[in-house]
Amino acid sequence: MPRSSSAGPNYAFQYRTRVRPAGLSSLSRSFDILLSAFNSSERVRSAFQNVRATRKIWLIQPEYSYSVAELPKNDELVVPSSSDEGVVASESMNAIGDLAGKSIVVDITGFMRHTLLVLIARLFRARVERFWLIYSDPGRYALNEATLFSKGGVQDVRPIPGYYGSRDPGDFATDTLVLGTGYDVEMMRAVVEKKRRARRIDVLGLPSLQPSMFQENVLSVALLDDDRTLSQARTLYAPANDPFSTAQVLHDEFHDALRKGRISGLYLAPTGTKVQAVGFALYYLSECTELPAALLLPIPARYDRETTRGHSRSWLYEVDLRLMGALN
Amino acid sequence: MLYTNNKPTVETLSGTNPFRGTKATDLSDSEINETFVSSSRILDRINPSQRMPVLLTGGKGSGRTHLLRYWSLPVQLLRHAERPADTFQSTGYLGQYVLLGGMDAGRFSVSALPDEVVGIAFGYYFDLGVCSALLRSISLLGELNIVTASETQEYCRRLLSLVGVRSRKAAPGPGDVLSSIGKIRRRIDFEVNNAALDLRRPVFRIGNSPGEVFYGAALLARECFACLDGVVICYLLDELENLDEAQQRYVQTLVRERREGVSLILGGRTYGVKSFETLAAREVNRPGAEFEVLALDDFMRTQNRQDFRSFCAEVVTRRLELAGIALSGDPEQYFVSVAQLPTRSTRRAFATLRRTLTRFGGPNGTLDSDQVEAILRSLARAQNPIMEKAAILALYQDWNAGIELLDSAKSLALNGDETNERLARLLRHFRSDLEAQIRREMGGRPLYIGFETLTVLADGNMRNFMNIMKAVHSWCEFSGEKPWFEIPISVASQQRAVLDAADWFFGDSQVVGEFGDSVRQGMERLGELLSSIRFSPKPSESSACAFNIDDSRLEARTRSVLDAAAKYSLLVERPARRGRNEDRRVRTLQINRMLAPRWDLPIGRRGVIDLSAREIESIFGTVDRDSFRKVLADRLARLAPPFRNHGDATLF
Repeated sequence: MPRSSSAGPNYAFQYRTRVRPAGLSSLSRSFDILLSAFNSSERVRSAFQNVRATRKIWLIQPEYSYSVAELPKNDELVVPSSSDEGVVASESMNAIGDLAGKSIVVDITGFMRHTLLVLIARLFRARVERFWLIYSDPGRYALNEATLFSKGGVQDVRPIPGYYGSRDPGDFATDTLVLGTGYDVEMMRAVVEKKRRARRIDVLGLPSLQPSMFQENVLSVALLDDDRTLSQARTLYAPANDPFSTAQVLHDEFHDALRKGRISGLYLAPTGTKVQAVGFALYYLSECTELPAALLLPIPARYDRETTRGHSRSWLYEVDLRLMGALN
Repeated sequence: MLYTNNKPTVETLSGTNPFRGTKATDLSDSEINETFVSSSRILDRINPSQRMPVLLTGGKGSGRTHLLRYWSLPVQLLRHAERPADTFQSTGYLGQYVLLGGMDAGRFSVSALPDEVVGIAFGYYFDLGVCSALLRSISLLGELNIVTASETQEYCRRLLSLVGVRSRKAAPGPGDVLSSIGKIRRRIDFEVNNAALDLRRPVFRIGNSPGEVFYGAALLARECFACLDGVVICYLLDELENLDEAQQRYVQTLVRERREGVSLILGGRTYGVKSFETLAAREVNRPGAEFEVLALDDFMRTQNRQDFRSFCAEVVTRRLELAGIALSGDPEQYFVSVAQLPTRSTRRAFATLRRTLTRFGGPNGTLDSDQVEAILRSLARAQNPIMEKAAILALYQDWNAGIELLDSAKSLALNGDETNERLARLLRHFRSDLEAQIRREMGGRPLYIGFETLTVLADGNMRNFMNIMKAVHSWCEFSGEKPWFEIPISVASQQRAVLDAADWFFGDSQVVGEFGDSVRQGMERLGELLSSIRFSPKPSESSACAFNIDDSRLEARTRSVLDAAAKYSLLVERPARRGRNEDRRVRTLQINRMLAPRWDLPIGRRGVIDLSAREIESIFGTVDRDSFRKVLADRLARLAPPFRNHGDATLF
């Protein structure tokens, strides 16, 4: 990974490990707490079973609409009292309890993006120096580029709690939307529509999770548009499965422009892979909290429980905030 | 690349699309000015210097933002570039554009706060944001020497006092005020952000009463700057849909408590207007009393069709001029607008008639093969497909009415086609539908061609029209045509373009909220139903593209789904009429004409069918596909031999 082009957190010294599905049970370390969002996919359930942890907790996300009868019977559950992401994250943190001296790993695979990002913000706020994240790749998406994850349409597009800095609303001349692109055209379109006044920069996942997925991503983005001329279109490329490289790409692109007032409002919208969403979150929480920047997402009514087939591999990411320099 | 002074040749035009840039948000201030085509009817209705606030609504692409930005200060100054100091005296106003989307108001809707508190907390932030925008405009006037340094200093000093900040400088400037306001605003931003994360109430000091800074900043400007003496400061507040209900009540409070010398024009999408109530005592602002309403697309749709057509012609001419092309006359001449029906068709309908007569034997089931042939001989007009279709339709109508078909066929053969009054009447009503049927039987689709037709498809919405034109130009390029020079734009390019534009419109009209899926599914089903009726052997109405429904008989949720479809312009509301029993209200809704090509529907305003509550519930009220299939089958059974269930559906 190239060194950061200017001062700021160093995302390079972060570990990511690729693990075969069977290898999750033989990771070099075990954890005190595993938190995973329950859904019907093989990759989520096998990871929960195989990762070694003293406590294993399922978060039951309301958007999946599971009935009581469908929930795991013998595992510790967090069943939130509301679908509000602030409430879900808060009740999850309460269930986890005191993290001092404990190691926590979060399997992000089944999480709703907005809930995941608030949870990460809470971990930053709690000054947890180190935590781990797991993401499991599917064999493939059920309908390739036509796969839809959200159901029931977009309810709203809004900033996520914990991810709003400060900007002058009277100055919008150089507002910029950074769209992390993926498959869900409806979600992406809702974000683009919300910030239609902003200059748009697309982030494509390259390398992609699977070779064909890059072209599928490009096809989805093509469906968004519209009116931009070639000279107006801008694209960044960040690995679909590396949050640290994603954060680095954003840092390299926007660090100077934000601090020198060349961007009136920077809107980060990570509607691509969840791993990229983590990268967006790390970038924001490390560098943007007092700048004219925000992270916003489309909020779906419901989410499909099963959009993938198989489990090709997992990734373990060690987020060391002290090493990153994000706790200063 | 788009806007050039060099006259292009056909070759250099290749690769550019003069109709790209359909959204006002993508245009610079100078492009807004250059591409603006005035509609005197709108400018006669509303004016930024008028006292009465205005609510400007419409669907996507109706021209709201273009209009608001046209009135905004930077564009005003462009129009008076030679003598900028005269801008305000000649126009009577200063247009202060504010983009409400920049407030990111969604973060104020913290669940821990009651609505009234959200309204007030947001209101303070809102006032400061608008004040910042006005201050930037004052800075601009200073740069252009339209206002003096001493005037600006006096203004800044008094503005700081207004917001409760003691200045350390003797002569503060706009930058100092922006910095001070920025500090207040940042505190609010951080507190709201942290409170949302910590699930607590945000705590910050509100330094001014609602509206005090909003109106105070404008009134001070009128007092301090000689060039603004007697000039109306008009706040142009765009994207109202980005405020939630509580926040809109704050804006309505500002409308109600307006001050002399300051006016408001609010711009918002039709679906985005959430309240006319104020914060205090839930007073309600009423159109015609506290404000005027202008629904832009309704206005353009209901005005004389020729006015919108002329407007479109002007826009096309202007866009092509900017690309260096001068049209020699009306754009209509550059399009193929007539395509003759083939003189010989597949006569599929004739073959179908033979089969159904043989199978069912007419209304009484008694026709033998000789009688069937006799009927067919009377109706056959192989050289005149449209007349043959009309004759078949007439026979089906008689079959449905239980009339003896031998007699019917004889009457249709009498006196030749030229004097057959009944066939002539049928053709007057059903020509469009019969032509569509013939084209479909020959493997084609109904035609939507000609400049006039393209303007009708756009249905009063300029962005829709521009998207059609953009697609037309793209398809011409793709197929190697040379539009705007010698050869008229082909039928094929126009057809592909309107289908593309229809698909774009359908995908772009995403309904946000809980009814999104139901609206989308409902529109598909409605389109299928209307198309099936149009292409049935005996259509019940000519050119049916609209329906009547007594919505008092619908489930509440279904009514909401219909409302959402109308607010997002997928359906267009026509003036309501009273039902047969006077206490019922019948709504008339038409599929947006942009969508007509998607389902091969007509684009006239004639045909309206009555749909029952059961039918509407199966279309918009349920995910169950079987109930819709049953409703569709029941409806079509009345429109094809042997015509079961005589009589059409009623509302009651």
